[in-house]
Amino acid sequence: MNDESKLKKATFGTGLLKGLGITMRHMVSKAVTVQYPDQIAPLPPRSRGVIALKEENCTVCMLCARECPDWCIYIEDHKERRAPKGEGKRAKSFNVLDRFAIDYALCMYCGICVEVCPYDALFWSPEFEYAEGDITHLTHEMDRLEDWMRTVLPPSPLEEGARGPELKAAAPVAAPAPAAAPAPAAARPAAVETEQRPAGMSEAEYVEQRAAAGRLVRQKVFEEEIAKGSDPRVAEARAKAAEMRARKATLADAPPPVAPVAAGAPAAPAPPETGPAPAPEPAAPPKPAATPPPAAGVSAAEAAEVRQRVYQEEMAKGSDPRIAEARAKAAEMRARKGTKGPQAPSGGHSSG
Amino acid sequence: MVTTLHHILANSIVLLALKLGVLLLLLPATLVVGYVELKVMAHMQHRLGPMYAGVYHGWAQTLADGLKFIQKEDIMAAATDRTVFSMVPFITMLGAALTFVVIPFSRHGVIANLDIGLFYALAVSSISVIGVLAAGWASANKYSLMGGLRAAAQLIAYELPLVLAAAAVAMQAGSLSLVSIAEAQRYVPFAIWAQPLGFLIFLAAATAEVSRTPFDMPVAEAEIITGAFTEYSAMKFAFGLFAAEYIAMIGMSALAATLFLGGYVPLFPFLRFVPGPVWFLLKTALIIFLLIWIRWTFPRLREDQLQKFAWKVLIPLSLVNIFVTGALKLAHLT
Repeated sequence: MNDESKLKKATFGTGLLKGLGITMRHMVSKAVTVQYPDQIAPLPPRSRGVIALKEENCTVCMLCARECPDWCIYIEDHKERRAPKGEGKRAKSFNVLDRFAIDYALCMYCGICVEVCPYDALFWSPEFEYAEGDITHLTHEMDRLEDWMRTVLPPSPLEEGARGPELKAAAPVAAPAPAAAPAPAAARPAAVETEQRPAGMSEAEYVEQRAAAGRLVRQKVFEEEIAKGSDPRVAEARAKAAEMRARKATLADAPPPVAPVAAGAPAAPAPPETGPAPAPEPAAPPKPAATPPPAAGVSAAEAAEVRQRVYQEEMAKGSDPRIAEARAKAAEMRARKGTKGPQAPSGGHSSG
Repeated sequence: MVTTLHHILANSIVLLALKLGVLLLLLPATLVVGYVELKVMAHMQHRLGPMYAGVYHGWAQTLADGLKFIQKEDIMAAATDRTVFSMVPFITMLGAALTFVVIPFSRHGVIANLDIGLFYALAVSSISVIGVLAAGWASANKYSLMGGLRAAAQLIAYELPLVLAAAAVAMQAGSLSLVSIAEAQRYVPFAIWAQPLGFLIFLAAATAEVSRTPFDMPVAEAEIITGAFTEYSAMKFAFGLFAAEYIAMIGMSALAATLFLGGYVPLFPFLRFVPGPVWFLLKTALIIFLLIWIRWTFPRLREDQLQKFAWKVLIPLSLVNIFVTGALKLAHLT
């Protein structure tokens, strides 16, 4: 016999007494029963009882009837026309609801119709005492559904930490904006693009400088996007992406010019005109997304020089003229932006 | 006035009739105990129990159940042995009710103060075993038969500890007459002073004799649907199982109250003004409450666990109890 069962033997009977104690405790404490017809247990908020219809919101889009898994919503309507607003204008037609019925004998209270209604015409109500003796009485017509609106509760308060609808209108870069705005259009913080900080600057300063540059970029891009009429959220997203690129841009990984939006004239690289070198369009159309990172590296003249040199090198090697020109152009771009070439070993400043 | 009453009561026939009238109280007692069980069970499970029948906290619930049983159809399968089948409720009721003949409600308030009262009570309570066996056999249902056999096995197994614990009490009191046993506890009940172990053994055995949880494997309401009594419907069920079980429970509690708590004897001498029957009822009620409490606390024992408990634990313990009682008595210590 091992120790465990010895221990069990020693405490034999105490479990029985504990059990008796528990039942006695329950017996003398108040019962939790809620005696239903006379008392009603409190329902949780957002309880689903019956579905109410607010007729004035309904545009008879039929989404609820279509999405209902049980096909228990019956809708009938007809079209009418409004008077045309002016001479030669079309008489706009609209739906008029004739019949809206929900068959609660079929309804499984899933709430898909309430969820899917785009015009908030259906609401949940916690009312559940509508039992009938005849099953056909369980089909509630429009008037009865409208009646249920009286029992619909106001929406429950948002949970802690939830973002309410009012946040949509606020400018997402409100915080950094004041900081960056006063800064002059020094859109080319030259040191940002280099991946090594200048010698005279501390790490903290460097990081701060890059952050500031990033914020500037972000603000600018955001304003551009808003001016173009994008959705605030889209504008914010693009601005943030631009900021990230500005802060992280290194010689090695120049972000490929993907970004969807074509900001027509990328304001960032200020001196894009490549004087002598034939640059068809400023930094190729797809590139504009890369515009936020302001050009750094070498000046235009030097870049043109680089281009010339590379072109001649390539021609000397015997490449096709077009290829030579392409490579030369690429080199010029890299030089201008201060990014490393494919073979460039280490990060550095202007190549060439 | 008092003398007239005395003359009337002295007439033995009247007295007998009155005493037998006590038996008539058994059925209402069943209803009351049934209701108390429902309510206590409910509150122990943190709920309310019957609240509806009879408006005020559902006091008429068991009465309503009885009326419901009366109006049910009495079904018997084709292969049923009808005579035996119909006799079973009588047998079980008899076994349960006859115990009350010897139980004293007060010094003279006993139907028949037999000198071998205790012996009689135990013997008569074993009649119900035959009833259960007969029910199992006559039902022409193999599950009922098995249920009946298991029930009989359990009842027989627990007869021994019951009798042995009672035997120790008889030794302690020096008599088999229940009145004498009650009188012997004038100063202190046996449960506290001389027979604590005997009390526990008797309680356990009595619970098993009545087939109550934790020993209700033969009945096991939720699982084998009352085993031997599955085929019984309507009044045969209401009387043969339901009422008989409650009456047996009351009988066993009354017996335990008399043997170990002192029956009609007041607990404290200064409370002598409270009449004997009231004490008796209080003590019986206490034991009934204990039985109900135990029922709704503990899970049930399997048939083999049950048998092991009887043969390997209770019987040796009760033998030891007898031995110790005898020794202490001889040494004039108790």
